[in-house]
Amino acid sequence: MANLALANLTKRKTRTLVSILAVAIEISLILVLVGLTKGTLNDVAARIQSIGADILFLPPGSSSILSLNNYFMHSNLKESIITTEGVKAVSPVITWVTNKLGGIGGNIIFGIDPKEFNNVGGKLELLRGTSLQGEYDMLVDRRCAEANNLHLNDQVELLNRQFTIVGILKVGVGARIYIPLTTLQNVLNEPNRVSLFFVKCQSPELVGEVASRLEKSFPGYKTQLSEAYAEDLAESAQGINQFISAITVIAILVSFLVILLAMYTTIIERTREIGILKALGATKAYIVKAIVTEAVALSIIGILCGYLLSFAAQTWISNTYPLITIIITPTWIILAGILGLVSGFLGSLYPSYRAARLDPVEALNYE
Amino acid sequence: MNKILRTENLEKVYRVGKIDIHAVQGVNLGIEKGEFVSIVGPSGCGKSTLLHLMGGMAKPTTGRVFIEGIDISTISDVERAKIRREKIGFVFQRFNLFSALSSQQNLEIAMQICRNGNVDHQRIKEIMALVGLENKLHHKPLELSMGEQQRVAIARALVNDPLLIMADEPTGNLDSENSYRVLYLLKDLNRNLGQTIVLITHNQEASKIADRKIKMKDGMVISPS
Repeated sequence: MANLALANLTKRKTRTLVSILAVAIEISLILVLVGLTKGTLNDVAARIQSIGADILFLPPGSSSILSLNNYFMHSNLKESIITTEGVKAVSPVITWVTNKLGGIGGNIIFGIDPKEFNNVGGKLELLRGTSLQGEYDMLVDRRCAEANNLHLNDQVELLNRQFTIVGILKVGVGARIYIPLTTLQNVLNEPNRVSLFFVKCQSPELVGEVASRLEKSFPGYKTQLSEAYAEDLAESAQGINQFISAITVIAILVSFLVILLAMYTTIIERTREIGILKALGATKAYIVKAIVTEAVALSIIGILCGYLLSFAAQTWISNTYPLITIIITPTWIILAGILGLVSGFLGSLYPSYRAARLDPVEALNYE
Repeated sequence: MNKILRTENLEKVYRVGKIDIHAVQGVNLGIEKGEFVSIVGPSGCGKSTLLHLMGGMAKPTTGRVFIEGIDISTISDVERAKIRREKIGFVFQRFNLFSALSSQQNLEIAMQICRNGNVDHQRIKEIMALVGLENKLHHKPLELSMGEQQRVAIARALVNDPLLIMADEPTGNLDSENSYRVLYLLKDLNRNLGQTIVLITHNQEASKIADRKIKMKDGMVISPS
């Protein structure tokens, strides 16, 4: 039976190629899309977590996705936060998103006070140059510098100002671009306003208690534990997850329909062959198995091609857009493979059922 | 004598639009083990329909078909498929080989269907040698002549050691030389192996190769009456 299935794959090359391509696109669409989302979210989360702060203190109504925030709070809240029991250090940060210097949907800029940022654990490790000193100094991380071919002392125009790159960071902690807090506040015309406070606790055991105290002391304000940031970020990105689900369902549906159509036309073309199988005494189960085996073989080849296509896309995206992280996890590789198999299997069920029900004499006389 | 196939008042009626077509009418016949019987008649006389009914490919409208005492006209599709794979070997006018498969693989499929997936390669070689094609095991149908394709089809019909072979116009697509070879191959199988064969043909000359001739006309057996 395997011989018959494989021989039919090689006999009808165009149909086989189209079907394989449909499954491969399904697989790569799922893997690349999920990989892009996961990569971006993980990248953001990892950078926020690498700051070393224990808690993010956010204004009312704000989102965990910092780049989506357009809410500010007064910077004098810092004095109240620092006096909260268990708090060791606080660093005010103002954020802004620019569409310059690459990145999906823009690059987030942190306006920071380097000393305070350092106090909450945000160690900005320099590869070259110095930290922020002048009003229009800028730090960028290595990936951002490489992606934009930036070097020390290069000028970058941002928010209608000329900034000078004074340092290249090893890894972007929090963001990839830093400028002084007061500069960003002034440029945005939001003096004494900040987007968030990074809070460092006196000991890791106190994080939960401190967060509760802050929420009690500042009703309506939000606290976000740094440790759970990745999960909370993923939860906050429900819209993205729904989008991925929709694309995944469409990909599965397209693949299912292509396999269904391919197998259905195959059944029509091969009515006589099914008649021969019936004359030889093949049971309905045997015929269903023969058709499903062929569809599953198509799907397996399509899945393998889909994996190759996904890794090729990953390499291409990484090379073309160095600031974009795409993560293809083993879990999703397996999941996408299962989805590909299921769509192929389901797509072959109706055609195989029809084939099994054919009348032997009519099938043999089919022209 | 031992009748391995018997029909009783066999009828097959097809409805085309509002008209009933009586393809087979009141056929009573018996085939004995080891016989070579030809069923002969003009095109459209119901020979092939009769063969389909006797081979369990179609159900009669009325009447019965017994194969080794089993009434195959009343059994389920699954049971009829079992009869086909275990008792009958079909040979068709258009060979009906799987064009994507080699001769050997065509025989393997028949064997797998009959033997739950098990294949006896030695048996396949022996049967292919029997039909004189032991050197064409790996050839696909389109790499063989028409006569060779029909001999592969005969080999496939033989591979599961059937109770009887039903050949439906096996020489219909062949030239006279190949027709002669195929008919004498069937005759040899009957004479040397005792294989029971039912040959359907419209060709009076071809029918002479059989030990017994049954003539049909308008769906009925006219001779012997």
